[in-house]
Parts: sequence; structure tokens; C-alpha cells
Amino acid sequence: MNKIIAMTFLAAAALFAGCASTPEPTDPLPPDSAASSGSEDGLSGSGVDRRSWQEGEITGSTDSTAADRDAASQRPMETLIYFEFDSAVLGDTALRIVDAHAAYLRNTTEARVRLGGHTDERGTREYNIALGERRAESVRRALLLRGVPRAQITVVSYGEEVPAATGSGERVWAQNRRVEFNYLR
Amino acid sequence: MDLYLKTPQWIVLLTLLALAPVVEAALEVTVRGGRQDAVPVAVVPFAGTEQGDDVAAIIADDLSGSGLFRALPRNDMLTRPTHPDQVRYVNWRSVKVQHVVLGRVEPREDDTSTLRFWLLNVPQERESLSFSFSSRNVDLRYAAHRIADQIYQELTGIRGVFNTDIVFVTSAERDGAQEYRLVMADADGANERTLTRSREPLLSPAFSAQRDRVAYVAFQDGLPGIYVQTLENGQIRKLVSREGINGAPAFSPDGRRLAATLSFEGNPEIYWIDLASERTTRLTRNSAIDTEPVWSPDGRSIYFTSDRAGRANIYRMDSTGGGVERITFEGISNARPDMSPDGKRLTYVQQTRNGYQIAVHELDSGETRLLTPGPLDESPRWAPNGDVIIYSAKGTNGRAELATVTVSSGVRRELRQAGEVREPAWSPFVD
Repeated sequence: MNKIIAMTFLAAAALFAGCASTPEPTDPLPPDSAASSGSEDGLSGSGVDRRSWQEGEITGSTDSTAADRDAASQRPMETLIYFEFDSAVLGDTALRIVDAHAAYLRNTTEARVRLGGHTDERGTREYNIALGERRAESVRRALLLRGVPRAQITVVSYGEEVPAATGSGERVWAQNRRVEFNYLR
Repeated sequence: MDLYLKTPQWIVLLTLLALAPVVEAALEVTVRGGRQDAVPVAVVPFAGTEQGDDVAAIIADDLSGSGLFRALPRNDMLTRPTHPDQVRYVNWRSVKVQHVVLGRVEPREDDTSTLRFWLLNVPQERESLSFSFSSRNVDLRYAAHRIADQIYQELTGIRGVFNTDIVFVTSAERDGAQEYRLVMADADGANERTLTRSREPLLSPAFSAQRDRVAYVAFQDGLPGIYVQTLENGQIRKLVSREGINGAPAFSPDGRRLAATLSFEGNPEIYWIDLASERTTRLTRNSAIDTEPVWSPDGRSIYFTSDRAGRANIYRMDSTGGGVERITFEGISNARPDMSPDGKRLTYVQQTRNGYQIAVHELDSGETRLLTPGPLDESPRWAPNGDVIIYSAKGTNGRAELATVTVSSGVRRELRQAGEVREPAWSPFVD
């Protein structure tokens, strides 16, 4: 059953990738594409084609790590590193967590980790995407300094888009300013 | 001192839901800080609209929604003329109306109608505007917005934006998981159309100046990409998805390039992406964050956010890179600029002791005013008339909602629905 769902996702993803990878010409709207018949004196043509929209869809497989978690006995239990406001500086607690993951990654050369950078809701969204990346990059640098091969690490920032906790106030914000270790294998 | 504090603190509650066709989650509209001296107008029901779109109601809601006008309730109309010859001005003076709008919708043999309307000045007892044009019957709603635009321009000197579109991102739970939608709607929030759906975040939509395409950021399998969607046929093109950030797309005025933020070279920098060749050209070289580019209307400058001086601030550079100058010095930080269509003003988010507020900045004088109360206002974008700004705010229920503020009057409107509504962008004028 799960397999069927996964297949469906894959098929959808493949279909999407097929569409997306074909370079499409970016022609402007054909002139008078929706002109109403015989209206010479006014509104026709302009804006009336606003109804002729089509819905697109972005699909992708989700949650591929659930099955992996069982096999993670040697993986460090702590997979979250927290940050101060507008900061990417790693504190002592953060460095202890980094040490543990560095040891695991060095010993498990087939392991691959994705570092997901996150921010709280304050500040603008694209700035927060950049700030989340700065946080994830500072964790990556610390792992590289500890001898982890670059090929084992990828970095992605979600900015404020995927909060761990919802609401406002420092308690919520502190939980959201984080880097997550996501092991892909 | 701040404009929003000067506006009267009374609230006009105006629910425009009646306007909306049956859609899954129409935006509910609230007007705040409407003018106590709002000009009373009467929009008489148009002849020929007993069935179908209520053209007069759409016009009345547009004008009232601006906060500058107050529409006379229909029950208070002593007569309902549909031609200037039927008007007795004394009837309108007695209910203290300054302007009367009359009109007729006359069906023709094909699926179109002829619309006529008249704007009458009651104190002067004269016709100040009259116009007729044709419209497809299915587009009477747009024809009504267009009439409202003409009336607004005649009475305020500023072009109306009722006959334009907005796009925005919604986020709500569906079937036990978060669903993100990129939605297009009429400027009054009615007539919602889903452009894109995804189980992963969508953000940063931007219109092309030609109004034919929308660029945005979508995540797929946890990784971001910049996508360009053609509105006419819904075709989605994945333009770029390199390692790191793929964000903040902004069409060049000629529609041939995007400015965007990429970090595949190790740090968030601003690039051009040529839409035909997909070639990227790097514009910034700095170890700080450089992001949120936006073009000046003449295509010569790019304004952007950078924290190269420690905190985020707005900078300008030549659109070929180089010539960087800092624009903002007030507040704790400043980010996410958008430039007015005449190239004279910026809006951006200013961080103050009150949180994050929307500011407007006159480039000639450097004068800056805060337009909104905060505390978590973001994503400001100009309407095409350069007088209204749409942005997102945190509503009282804790969810993001949209709001507009009119720079010249200080009137604010809120547009909310059950889920989160955020990341707005306003279309260019339709014609």
C-alpha cells in the first residue's frame, strides 16, 4: 500500500520533472487571445482573458526518512541546534552536538546528512531564507573543521517557512531558530 | 507623528462577502481608519442588472472600500433613476449626497452588453462624467471595477486599482498535512483562482510587468527552486534550482530577465538570470547577505537588502552591478524594498521598537514615514497606481492576513480568511 503511494508520488514527480525540464518559450500572451466578438468601442480584449487561467501543480515525494530512523541507533539523539536572534553563532551546547555528529559521520562514511536552516517569524521572508542558510553553513563549517568529508553534507534553508512551533513570543521564536540534522541515509 | 496614528481611530466594518461568487474561502474585507469626511455618494442600481452581476453594488463596494467615499444605502434612495433626464437633484440634496452614479446595461445580440454610466455632481447640478463601452456578459464584474476606476480618478485625481489582480500565498491544513496555494484574485479579494498547489512552502511571487507571468519560489523534495508560471495556460517552468538558495525573483521591466538571489557560489548574492538562455550573471560580491532585489522602472537600478554594515538595510546598485550606495539609515533595520511605478518612492519593512512596520521613503528628499502599526508587518508591494501598498500582517488570531494601506489617505483594509494569507503581489494595470 505504502509502495503504491510512493509509486504514485514518483510517477507524479517524474511527470512534473519531465514538464519542468523542457525549456518553454516565454512568448507574451497572443494578442487579442480572448477578444470578445465585435466590441469595437471599449473594454474588449483588455483583461477579459483573466478568466482563462489554468491550475498548475507541484508534486514531490515526502517523508522518506521514517523507515530510516529505526536503524539510527548510533546516530546522535540530539538533532537540533538553536540560535540567538539574527545570529548564526554556535554556542557550547551547539558545539557538543556538532562533535557527536562529526564523530558519527566520520565513522559512517555512507551516511548523508542534510542540514536544514530555520529562523523565527521576525524579519522578512527572503532575508530569513538567507539567515537560515547562514546558520546551516556555520554548522557545515564546524563539521568540515572536524574532518567530515564535504560530500556527506548538504545544506538547505527554509527560512521562517517551516516553523517547529507556532505562535509568537520568545519561547516560540527560540524553538524556531534552529538547524536540523536530517539524515538522508 | 506617524501617519497611521493621525488617521481617525474609528472603524468602518464593511463585509464584502456578498460580492464574492461561491468559492472555497473568500477573503473577508475590513476597512480601518476610513475618513470621517468620507464623501457621500449614491450608486443607483443599474437598469438591466436585475439578474446577474449587480454592477452598482460592485461599484459602491469599491468606492466605500477605498475609505474615501461612503455609499448611500439603497433603502435611503428616494428614487432610482437610470438616466440623467430622470434625475431631480433636490431628491439627492435632501439625503446629503455629493455625487450620484447612474447607469444601464443593455444586452446585445451576441454575448456582450453595452454599458453606459453617468457621474452627476449634486451641488453643481451637472454631469461630471459620462461614458459607454461594451463588455462580454461574463466580464460585467470587471466592467464594474473599470467604472469604479474612472469615478475614483475623476473625483480624486488618482487612478483607481479596482480593475486589477492580486496574487498571494495561502497555507492551511488539508487532509492532515499543510497545503500551500498560490492564489490569484481580483483586487477586492473576490473571484479566487488557484494558480499552484503544493505540500511544500511557496513564497515570493512576483508579476512580470507584462502581466503574463508570475515567478515564485517553491520547494520540491525539500529543495528550493525558482519557477515561472505562464498565467494564460498554467504552464510551469522550473527556471533554476541550484545548490543553496534559489530565491527572491524579480522580473526586469522588459520581462526578459529575472534578478534573483542564489548561493551556489557559497554566499547569498544577487544575479541576473536570462530567461531565454538561462545564463546567470553575478551582480554582488560581498561576504554579507545580499537579497530581495527589485528593479527601478527604467531598468537602470536594482534596490536590495544587505546586512553588509551589520544589520539589514536597503541599498541601490546599477542593474549591471557596481555603484552600490546605502539608502536607509533610520530604524533598527530595513528590508524587502519595492519601488513605486513612478520610480520616486520605496516601500520596505522597517524594524522599530514597535516591531516591524511598513515604511514609505521619498527618494528625492530621503523623508521616511511609517504607515502601519506593526508589530509583524511584512512583504509590502506597490499597487500599480503608486498610492496603495499591500502587505501581510499578523492578525489578532495569530494567523497572517493581508492588508492594504493607501499612502495619501492612511486608510487601511484587511483581507483575511480561515487559513494563513501572506506574500501578496499586485498586478500591473490591465490595459
